[in-house]
Amino acid sequence: MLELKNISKSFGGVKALRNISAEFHEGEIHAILGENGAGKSTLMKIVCGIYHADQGEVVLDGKVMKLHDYKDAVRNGISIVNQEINLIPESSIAENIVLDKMDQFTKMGFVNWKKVRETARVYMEMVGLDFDPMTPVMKLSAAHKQLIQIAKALSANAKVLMLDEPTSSLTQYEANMLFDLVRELKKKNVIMIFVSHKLEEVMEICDKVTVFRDGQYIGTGETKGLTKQQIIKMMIGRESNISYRGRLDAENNPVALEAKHICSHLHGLEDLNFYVRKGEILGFYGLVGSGRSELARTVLGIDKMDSGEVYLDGKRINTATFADSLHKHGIGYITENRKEEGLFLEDTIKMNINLNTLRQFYVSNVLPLIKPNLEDKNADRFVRRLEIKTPTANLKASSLSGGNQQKVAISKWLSVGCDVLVIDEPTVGVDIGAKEYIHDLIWDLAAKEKKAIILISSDMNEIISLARRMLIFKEKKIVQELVGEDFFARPGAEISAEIGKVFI
Amino acid sequence: MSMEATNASSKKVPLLKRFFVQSYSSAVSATILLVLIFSIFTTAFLSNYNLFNLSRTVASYGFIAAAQMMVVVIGGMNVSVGSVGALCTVVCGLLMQEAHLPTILVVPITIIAGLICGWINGQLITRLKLAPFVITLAMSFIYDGVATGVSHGYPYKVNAGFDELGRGRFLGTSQLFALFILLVLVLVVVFRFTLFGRNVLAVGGNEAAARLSGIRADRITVLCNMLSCGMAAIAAMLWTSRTGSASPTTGADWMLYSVAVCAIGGISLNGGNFTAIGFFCGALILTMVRNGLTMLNVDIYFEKAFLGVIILFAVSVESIRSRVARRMV
Repeated sequence: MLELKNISKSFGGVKALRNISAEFHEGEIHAILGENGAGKSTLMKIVCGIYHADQGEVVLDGKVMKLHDYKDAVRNGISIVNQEINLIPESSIAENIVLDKMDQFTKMGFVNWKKVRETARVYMEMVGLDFDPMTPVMKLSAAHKQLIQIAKALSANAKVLMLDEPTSSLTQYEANMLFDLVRELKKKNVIMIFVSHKLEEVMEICDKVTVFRDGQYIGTGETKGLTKQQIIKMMIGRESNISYRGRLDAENNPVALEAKHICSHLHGLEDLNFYVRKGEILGFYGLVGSGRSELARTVLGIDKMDSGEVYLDGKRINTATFADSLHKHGIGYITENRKEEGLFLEDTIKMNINLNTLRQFYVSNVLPLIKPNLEDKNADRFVRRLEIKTPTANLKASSLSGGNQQKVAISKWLSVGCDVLVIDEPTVGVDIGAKEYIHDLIWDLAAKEKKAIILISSDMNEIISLARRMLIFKEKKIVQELVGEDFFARPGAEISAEIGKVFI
Repeated sequence: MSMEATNASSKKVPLLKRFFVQSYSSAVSATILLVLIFSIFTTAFLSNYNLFNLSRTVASYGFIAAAQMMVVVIGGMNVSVGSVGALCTVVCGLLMQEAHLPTILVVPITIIAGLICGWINGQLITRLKLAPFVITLAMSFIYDGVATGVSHGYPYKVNAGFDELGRGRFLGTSQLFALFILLVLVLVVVFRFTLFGRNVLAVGGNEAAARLSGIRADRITVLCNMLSCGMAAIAAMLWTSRTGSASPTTGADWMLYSVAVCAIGGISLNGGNFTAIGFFCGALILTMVRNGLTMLNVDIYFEKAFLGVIILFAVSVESIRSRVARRMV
């Protein structure tokens, strides 16, 4: 049994966790739920020795854990599998799996590669991976990398396995594979802690649910005895209603952006076409790697376009670089890779919000110098408007939780005033409260401000709730276009069934 | 509780703590400490002559360090600062001794020569997408080779009056030092108040994110390299002006000293940050240590070893400080 006793943790005076106590039992899949900033990640990091609690203790099988670092945790049978994949890309699968116990495979300084391969194969089989163990990890998909992390944890004889958003980059098929594995591990009496924003999957595979809100323990319950609405209420303190948003009626608006015959060798795109009207939300739906983000990035000049034509308001434009698209043509792009290319994590929240709009803070046109107090004002305005949870805009962006980081990334683009905005996976790793807020923002941009929006998403509910025309991508091709306000006014389940047909 | 914390972290932090969390605090403390040590233990340190001399050296190293800093802030490195300096010294000397051009023409031409070197460096870095270290290493051999080949290692005579800048006084200090102060002020304005400066820091902070913010990262990289080598050209002329002859051996030790000033000054070698106070103190510390060691009668042949120990000490203190500071915020 893993027990948490009265754990508290503060960061610079901000209480991240207050007096948390909870129990996790063998052979149980236990979900930890909560909005971003609720304290889930902090707690996980304390359990696996990355952070040290200010108060309280972690007790595993009656033994108080005094962990110095993550290595210490692994030695004590505690492992974590997270989104930020901790593998060495250049090394082989086998090396990655046995890396932390290489000494067992070494004699007089020489590695017994045969033994390494065999051992790796055993654990790869457990997680259902059928590859040559000597394949470099960088050649694998995100899903497979995640499975290798689990294999690595298993090879360390993990008693406690924490899964942090394990399915966020997986397809449904891959996720199911992972769930089968998790159920298998349950039989082996592993304590499993599952953190996810996807309630459906939590309801599907978890036995118990523990909810946090604002660093406080709210409650624990058997999943069977709870409804989705009840859990949401525990998480956000109110009931959520994901409902039909209404009509955009953009069918007769003029076309804002049009792309014709787009080809890219880099991404394997051939002769793709699309257009988006003013005041319209066009959905790009498909799995990761199906060509949706790739097409948008190619058209915007972020990735190289080999041939094709781009028109804005009917006029041919040149989008050789993204700087052209943004500064000359007013086309914005909110990336899906928030941490890698969306934010400056080591810079302040203020810097991130203001970067695209620094010209607006000039003293005057004659004197192009930035007035710092205008910067402060603008940052404070967005922190308040988007309810970004931080004591001040002068903290580093890395101090924020995922959802709040995303709000910062969006603020950056809201103040630019682009007429065309491509929004790529706006709510990956974002909790329900922040998610609805972001959805409202996107809807208002199209409905009230008549912006042309391209929404790229692999979240079916998100796209059904916002888009009123939709292109479905499969294997680098646009396989279907779904149109009609009436179509999107139908119940969500019917629409998703319709979309699902494409993938069968 | 959290409301109290909010107020505390924005306003009522004690002055000392606020100072401590700044990345320049160790450099400033070290400067003060060194001044105290040298003025207590040596008599000559605070003498008029020594202060004047010190101020000129600080400025000379300051300009070299600024040349390096222009690429360090984008996460790059310019191994060729010294050899660009050497090449520009030769250009400057040739123009004066052989072409008999007036100083007013020599200065801009020499700067242009530096800018061209930087442009070449920048183009190679962005086109070949190789590490700046490798490119500028290769280029440094080329620039150095050309400088030595053209000059055969002999110094050139400079125009009459060219050494006035390097030896002149201004408002109780040297003209060189005044120029350095001006340079630091310009850097403050650039990095704090101009779009260019902000874009440079953005590229240094996260190049991919900078690109997706519509910043032409390649153009910034080329510009920074040009400024870096342009600054090296200026440093070369100041050096020449101070010593009174244009020697092609100028710049032999610039690369290491320039990186040292950045490191001591708390300017992250990963790029993305600039602190004027730190930068200024970095130049000050390096110069004071060299000068002070001589004053303390340290065996001159061991000078570099002591210097290394002191640099190591300075950066370790900074590393510990930043770790502690991170926990405090």
